[in-house]
Amino acid sequence: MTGRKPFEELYPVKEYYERFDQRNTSFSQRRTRKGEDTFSYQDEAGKVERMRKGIPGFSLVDYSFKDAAETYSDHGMDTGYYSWKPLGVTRKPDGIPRWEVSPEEASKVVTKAAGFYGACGVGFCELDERWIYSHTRDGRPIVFEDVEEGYTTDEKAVIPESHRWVIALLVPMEFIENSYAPTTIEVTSNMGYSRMHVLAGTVAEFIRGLGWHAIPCGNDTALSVPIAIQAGLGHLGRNGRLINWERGPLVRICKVFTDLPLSLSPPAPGGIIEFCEVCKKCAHACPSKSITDGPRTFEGPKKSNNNGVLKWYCDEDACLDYWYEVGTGCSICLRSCSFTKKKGLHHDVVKWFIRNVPQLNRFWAWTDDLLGYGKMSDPKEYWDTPYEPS
Amino acid sequence: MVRIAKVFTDLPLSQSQLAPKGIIEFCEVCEKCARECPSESIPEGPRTYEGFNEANNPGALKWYCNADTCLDYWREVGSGCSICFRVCNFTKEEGVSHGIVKWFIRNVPQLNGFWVWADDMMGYGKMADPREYWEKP
Repeated sequence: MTGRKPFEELYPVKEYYERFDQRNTSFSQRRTRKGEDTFSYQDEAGKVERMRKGIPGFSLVDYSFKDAAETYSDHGMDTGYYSWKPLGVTRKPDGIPRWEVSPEEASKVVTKAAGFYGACGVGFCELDERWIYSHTRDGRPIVFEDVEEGYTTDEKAVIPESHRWVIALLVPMEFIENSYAPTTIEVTSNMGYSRMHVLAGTVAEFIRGLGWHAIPCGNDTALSVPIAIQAGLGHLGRNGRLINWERGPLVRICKVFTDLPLSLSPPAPGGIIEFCEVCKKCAHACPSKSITDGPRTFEGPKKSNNNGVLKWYCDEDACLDYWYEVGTGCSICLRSCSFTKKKGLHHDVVKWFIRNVPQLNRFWAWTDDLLGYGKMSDPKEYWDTPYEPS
Repeated sequence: MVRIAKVFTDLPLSQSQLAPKGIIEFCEVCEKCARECPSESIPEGPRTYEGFNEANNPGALKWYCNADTCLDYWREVGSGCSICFRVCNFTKEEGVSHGIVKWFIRNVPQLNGFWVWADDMMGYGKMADPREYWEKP
């Protein structure tokens, strides 16, 4: 039995651990290193070249399919629906007291509302300052102050000390479209960013309508994966992604900080780390060899790593360089993951064994290969079958 | 239970066929929405070419609703009402049994009166208890 072990036991953190500076992410460093004024890995010349060569999965249609999925996305902090101020869509009437209930009741209601708004996973944890970026990607410190409402200025971003709870929210990425990674038909990341933006903003607005405060974030402000783990939504896989028991790595994470007291979610069942220890499929499939096939460590290979936590560190720089080479966000480590599966009773049976009889993990990893899971679908065939939700 | 958006474009597209018919014939005998509408904005009886007031768009053979009394009720109840969605016989979760009924509605309209009766008998279209909504996952 692998059980539900607490975070500190599964992911020990060294004393020298420091809050990560978002300027050290591979994205930010590449921008500084190469003097690029954009985070985009899809340059126009590369697009044209791939279209003219007729590379399957990189046609005008495929590119437009991917780009349009970003229509509602936002990658900023305190921008769009990620606004730290109320949008004014909901407003608690002045004569009505704010919603006062037990933390258990609050978590129950927020879980249901977020599910309706499109979340495929909802969890709650206390705000852990270790996962808040020390600085934004443009170098502003993120600080905590005794204020009622969060705000950002040109100098700093201020999270109120009262915002002691985090709602971690997952949006789904589709199995079928992901199976075309690394071509541009892998639209699920892009669509995920649109869904994150709408979901986090909507949940924040819901909480504001109850008379409380909320700060919605996408990838900005804080590391999403440790928050999602603390909120019981899964565990950290070898590929550096959150692995969720229902959807594997096919989720994207957004989060909402709030002063609404919430009851905390239990840790997700264990067994994922033990499985990743023996599977190693992502490490073998990674075209840039950015994923280690060794054991977990406390140190990563590059400056873009966040040292001091026992986990698998990826070579984020080599990973990102490959994105520029292939012209997409790659996502092969999601496609090849043994946890990337459609819904199905037989998969649930295997997951039961992974949770309860880890001795069989090698056998499942072997059968996964044998059954041919994780291969790239043929991008020439994508448009010939009707859309199927997955 | 759908809302409609549309996109105008200069991209030449092949056109879709009309949906299978049978819905108008069913609505002719069902009249459940007309019965349940709290503001009596939905007519019983046959389709016409004329509406109630300026808010109608006359000249097409269809059922005209009294959009003014409908909207007055929205202000009274403080929401967008939507009772005519809730009580509609076509408002159903997915299910083989409903798939079969729809086959009959498309192919054997003579049975429409029976399905309307059965829908009432089975208690479809009633308001769920809002006090219980947040108690369930």
